[in-house]
Amino acid sequence: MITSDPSLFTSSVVKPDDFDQYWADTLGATDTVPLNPRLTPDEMRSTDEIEVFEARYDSYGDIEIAGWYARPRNFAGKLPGYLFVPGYVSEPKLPNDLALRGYAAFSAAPRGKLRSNSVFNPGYPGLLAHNITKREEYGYRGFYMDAVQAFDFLAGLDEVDETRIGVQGGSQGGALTLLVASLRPDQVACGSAGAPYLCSMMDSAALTHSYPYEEINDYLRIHPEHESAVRETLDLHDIHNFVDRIRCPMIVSVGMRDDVVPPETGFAVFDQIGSTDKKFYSYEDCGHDAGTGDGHVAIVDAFMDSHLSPIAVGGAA
Amino acid sequence: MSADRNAYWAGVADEVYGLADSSVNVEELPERSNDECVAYGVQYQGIGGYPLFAYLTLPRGDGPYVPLFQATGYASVVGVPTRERSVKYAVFAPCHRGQRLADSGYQAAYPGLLTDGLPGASSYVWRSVVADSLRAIDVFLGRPEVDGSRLAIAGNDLGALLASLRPDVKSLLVVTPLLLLDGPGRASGTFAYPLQEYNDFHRTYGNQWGEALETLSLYDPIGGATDIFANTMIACVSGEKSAADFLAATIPGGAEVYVNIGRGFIDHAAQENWLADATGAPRTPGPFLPR
Repeated sequence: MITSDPSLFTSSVVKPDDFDQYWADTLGATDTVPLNPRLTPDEMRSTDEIEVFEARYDSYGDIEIAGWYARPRNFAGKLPGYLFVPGYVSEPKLPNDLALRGYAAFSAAPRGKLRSNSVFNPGYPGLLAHNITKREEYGYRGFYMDAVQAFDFLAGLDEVDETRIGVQGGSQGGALTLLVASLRPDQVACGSAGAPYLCSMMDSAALTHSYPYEEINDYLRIHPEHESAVRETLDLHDIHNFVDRIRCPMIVSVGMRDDVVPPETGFAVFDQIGSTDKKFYSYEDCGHDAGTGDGHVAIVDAFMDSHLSPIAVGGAA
Repeated sequence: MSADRNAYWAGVADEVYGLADSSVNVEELPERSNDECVAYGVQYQGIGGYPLFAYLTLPRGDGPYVPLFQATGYASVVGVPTRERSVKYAVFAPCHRGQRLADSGYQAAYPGLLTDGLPGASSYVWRSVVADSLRAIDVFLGRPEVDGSRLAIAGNDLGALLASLRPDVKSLLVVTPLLLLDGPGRASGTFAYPLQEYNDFHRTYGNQWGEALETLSLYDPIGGATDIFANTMIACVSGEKSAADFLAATIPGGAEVYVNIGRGFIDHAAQENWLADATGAPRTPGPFLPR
């Protein structure tokens, strides 16, 4: 139900009866693909303080996925891990800033992103509506697995302390943060989700004319007879239905005037998060920035550092 | 503008002018059209015969409309123009070579695009990026639905460079991030991409840095600022303010410098309202739909 007070919004998402089985099957199918992690040093992006690598691994459906990995050049013992998951249209950032803060940092490029799009490339706009009426072939099924596998890649590195790995991202990265924390509930140490996308997706499409959700409106404008099939697919992939599994500390932020990800859906998904150690931040007069220009970046940094204890790295670029 | 700079950009303009009679194909995109505006895909050629693509949106109505040209940003994806803009402007959103939908012969890398082809001025990939943008403006103004006397450009500081090369630009909205304006100088104070690309190049190819700086100076909007005659706003973050102030002071008619307060809804409204006022388009509610 949509109201003038976003905190009172009630999501129309329904958890399908076969939701748990579908994702157990999907994780099982992913497990049959050897991760085959590869790291190639990138000397041009490395500095005296940090080493940068181009990363590759294999994921659901035998698709090769790319990423960036960066770590401090000098360290002793284990490093905390920091998985950064990307937004919808943006390319994954090269996480040199996180390495300089003392993390072993991985930035994933799930299928369809540059360097991961030789097989799967629905484009933007395109991804959100890719196979949207074919629940088992929906584009986000494999995309979600790529994010989970990125976590496994990071956790499997010798220098990473697998008890200190956090996940962070905004927008689609916020959605993937919640997803990974849901599907790796005993391994993710903490998470920060900004303006989480892919939550209450059908409701979101009704609340905005902005992309990416406008892709759903575009599709239904041409194919109104497919609405029930679209809803069935989206309910099966809606982040709202995953998050009761989350057990780690989690923070969520929204912009109260966000046209891209309606703030109502952030309130609703936050309520569903299973962890009792969670905190919600809402920012008046903010849009999809969700407070990043209004002090929230420092809150995220402090939150992640407090749970992951990064090492000290000297100097800057 | 210096003689070298004049000659360099005159050469690019000549190449672009040579495309004046090349074919342009415009096709409606029904799935991206709605009850308020119509979307089209536009296919045309850039220099070297390179295939390019742009989105064009038009309000449903009779026109002619204020033409709003969206200068390409540092990103692989060029999106469909927003509903907020499409209901009141004719909007042209081109892809330069290397971006999605224009990547059949060259795929830009991120990071990588900002320094690809340095140090040479003729090999620097941004020569083609600018040429693709100039060609896109010509294609846009060739549309009968637009009022070419009211051309507006919005985008990062590539937009300022384009305005310095196109005296017919009447309104110019430059938004953060600034990539070209004293780019190498400002990069020395950061390790954040995309500016970090300059540092990476400098560190890796130190013996070529001098030539690279000469090339990059051709792309710094400050060098052409005296040729900008558009009504201009520069919307930046606080760390960019001194560079923005310098550009504003160099533009003959001056420019308004707006420093974002960090609350996106307010900053967005300030920029879009300025653009509407500058172009004579109506102010309209922002993209956040009423509840």
